[in-house]
Amino acid sequence: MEDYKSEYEKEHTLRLRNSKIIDCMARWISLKQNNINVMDFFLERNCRRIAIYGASRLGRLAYDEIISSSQLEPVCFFDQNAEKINRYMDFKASVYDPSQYMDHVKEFDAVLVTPIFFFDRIEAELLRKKPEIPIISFETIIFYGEQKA
Amino acid sequence: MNEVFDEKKLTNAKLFEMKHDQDVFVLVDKRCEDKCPGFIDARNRGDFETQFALFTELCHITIDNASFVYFFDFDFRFLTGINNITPAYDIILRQGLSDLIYEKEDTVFKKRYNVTIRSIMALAERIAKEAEHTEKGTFFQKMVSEPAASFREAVQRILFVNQLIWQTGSGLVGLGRLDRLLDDYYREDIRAGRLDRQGAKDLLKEAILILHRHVWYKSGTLLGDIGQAITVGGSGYDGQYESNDLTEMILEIVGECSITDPKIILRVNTHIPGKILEKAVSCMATGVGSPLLANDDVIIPTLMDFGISKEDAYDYCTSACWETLIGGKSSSMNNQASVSFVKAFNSMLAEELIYNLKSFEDVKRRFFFHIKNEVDWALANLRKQKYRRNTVYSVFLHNCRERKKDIVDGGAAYHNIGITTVGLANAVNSLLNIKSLVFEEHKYSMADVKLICLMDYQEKEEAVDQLKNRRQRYGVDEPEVIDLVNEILRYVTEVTKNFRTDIGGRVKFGVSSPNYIRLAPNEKATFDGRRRGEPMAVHISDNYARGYTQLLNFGAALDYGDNRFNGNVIDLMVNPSFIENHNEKFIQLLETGIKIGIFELQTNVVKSETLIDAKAHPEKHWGLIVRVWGFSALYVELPESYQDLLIERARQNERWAV
Repeated sequence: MEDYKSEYEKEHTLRLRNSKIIDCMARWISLKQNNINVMDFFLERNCRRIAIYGASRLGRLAYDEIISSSQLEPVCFFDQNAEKINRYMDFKASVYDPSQYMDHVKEFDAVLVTPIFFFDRIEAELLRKKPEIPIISFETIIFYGEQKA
Repeated sequence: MNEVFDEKKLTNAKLFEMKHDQDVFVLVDKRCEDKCPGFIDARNRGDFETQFALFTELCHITIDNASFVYFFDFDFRFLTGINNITPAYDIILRQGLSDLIYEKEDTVFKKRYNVTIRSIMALAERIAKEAEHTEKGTFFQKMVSEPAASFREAVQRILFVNQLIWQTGSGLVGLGRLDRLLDDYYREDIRAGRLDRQGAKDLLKEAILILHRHVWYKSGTLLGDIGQAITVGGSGYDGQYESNDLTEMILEIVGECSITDPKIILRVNTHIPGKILEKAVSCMATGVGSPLLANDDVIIPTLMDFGISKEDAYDYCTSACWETLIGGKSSSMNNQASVSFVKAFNSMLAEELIYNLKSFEDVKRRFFFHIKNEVDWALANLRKQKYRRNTVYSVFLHNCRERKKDIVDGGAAYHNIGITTVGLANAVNSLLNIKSLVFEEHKYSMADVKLICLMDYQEKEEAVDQLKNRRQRYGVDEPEVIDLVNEILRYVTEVTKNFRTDIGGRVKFGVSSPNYIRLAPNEKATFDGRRRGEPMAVHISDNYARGYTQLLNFGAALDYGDNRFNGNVIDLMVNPSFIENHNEKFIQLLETGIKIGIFELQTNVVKSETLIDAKAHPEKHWGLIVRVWGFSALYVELPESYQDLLIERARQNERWAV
């Protein structure tokens, strides 16, 4: 029974996580269709060098979006699976383990967090390391775009 | 009839809960469909006039032994979204309904208008028939073609219009300047010997108690949030204070009845007679939270500067809570969005690169940028809002008939829009603390500030008390504080001044808001000792004040010009013993406040001990009334978060007050 419950909870969490990502992606597509660049969020805050937390699909799409903006520079990724990614995938930028955050913190002005479901935990973890750097959820920049729409 | 919402069997709290229940909506609509086929269909089509015609034809009329007819049929659920305005009751006082009908129905508006008038006439005739051979029946018969001829008849007409507007789905229906509206009828009846003062008072009291019924049905966001504001007194063109017998009578009635609503807005100026203020304080001392004082000396010039005509500015009243409104001429909905300064402050901390915040000026500049974002977001939402017609409102609002336009299309003389702001005190105190502790005393870095706020004072517990009670804070009469607050307020004007609604309305705002608890749970901690989720500061108040004078001086020094007049209330917690033992001193305090230029003032006369006992033993304090935001409510029926905040504020106040 306990196993079943735990399996159910896992699946439920996964569903929630996926639905949140799908919602975010749909909102982003809608903004793109209206020619709104959500990455202007960073320009308005004078942050030009961006690190991306999360090298999954959403993270990689965010990388492409940042690189398409001439005024922004995607610096690196942080991902818990950095080792696997580096071993098996040909990636566009350096992927670091979050434990290496402080080694690279001087290279970027802000961190864009793409695992939106875990944002609070990631934000707390990174803020403790270096509070000066803004930790921005992907959802926040989507919301920013919607304000501009 | 009205079986689902059976007021005899269910408590107000239960009925209020049911009113917001989707399943109950379905049930009510099903009953409506059985009773009145076509109503729901018309509602779905947005055809207000057909809905209203069906209602007037088929609604259940309730006539009891009271001196007045006033009823609702809860089976008919209209949806309009037009709230917070005050109808022109004088329209129905000085003529019969048939006088309003357009001779030629050559436009869509005229057709809709005439259908609505004819429906109202049909309902009046039905009521007259039901109440045949009684004075009440005669009143409704005459309403069709004649003006009101007596005090009682005038009161009945006001109640009838009020009932129709509530029934058709509009909420927070103001009562306007009742003492002026009824004065001619009152004096004529007294002169003719048809009525004496006591008789008039009894009638008015009965009407006020009738308006107080159906609390659950009329309540908005919280049980008790009804917004039936009666405005009394006020300045004449010569600057002198104008009041009459009814002004005092209304103050007496609300105090005597100990009811939460209707509530009184007492317009005041420097020439207000002592006896009126004494009556006002007696009413406040009963704990009903009324009257709210609105200072004509500040408000009228501000309204005129904004573009309101002199005649209308001198005739202002308030909608719902404290938002100034030109009653009977304005469709300005005054509480359409809320801007949170706390959110702006937290966004600044979370989203800015701290290295860029090298000075207090940098912090302020970026804070203003985030205020602009918040305001832009609120305005963008306002731009998208569309309202369903309520043609009854267009009938009972001046100018719509002359302009041949519905209020949703800009028929009223004024159709501006109001936003409220919340958390100004928290943001200002946080900024002041940053200025002194980060950039002057260097006790914290901006990174510390960010960490403290975003991590909710984890491992920095000691900072909470240090930050809460700093010498320089919102509510303190110091130029630096006042300048900062005024700078922020003027900035909000700067970013709102060019906004126009689809029908050309402008935006006004104020620093009082109902949202100090509702918006708080999602907001992270602020650098003024407020933890994550804790309520934001209430209106213009200072929990750590050491006296009322400083707060009044502070409130009077704020700049309420341009569009900053959408409610700016000084909120005082007063220990009942203070008024009891220092009545004259309290009256003097109010007189001083008026003289130095406060905008508005309201009181909560209650002690913490009573509130604590009422929370623990609600059965012993069923009738205990408290002022919540701009309305009064039964304390025991409030959500716990509101109860706790009132206890905390009363406790803080008692630390110094006697």
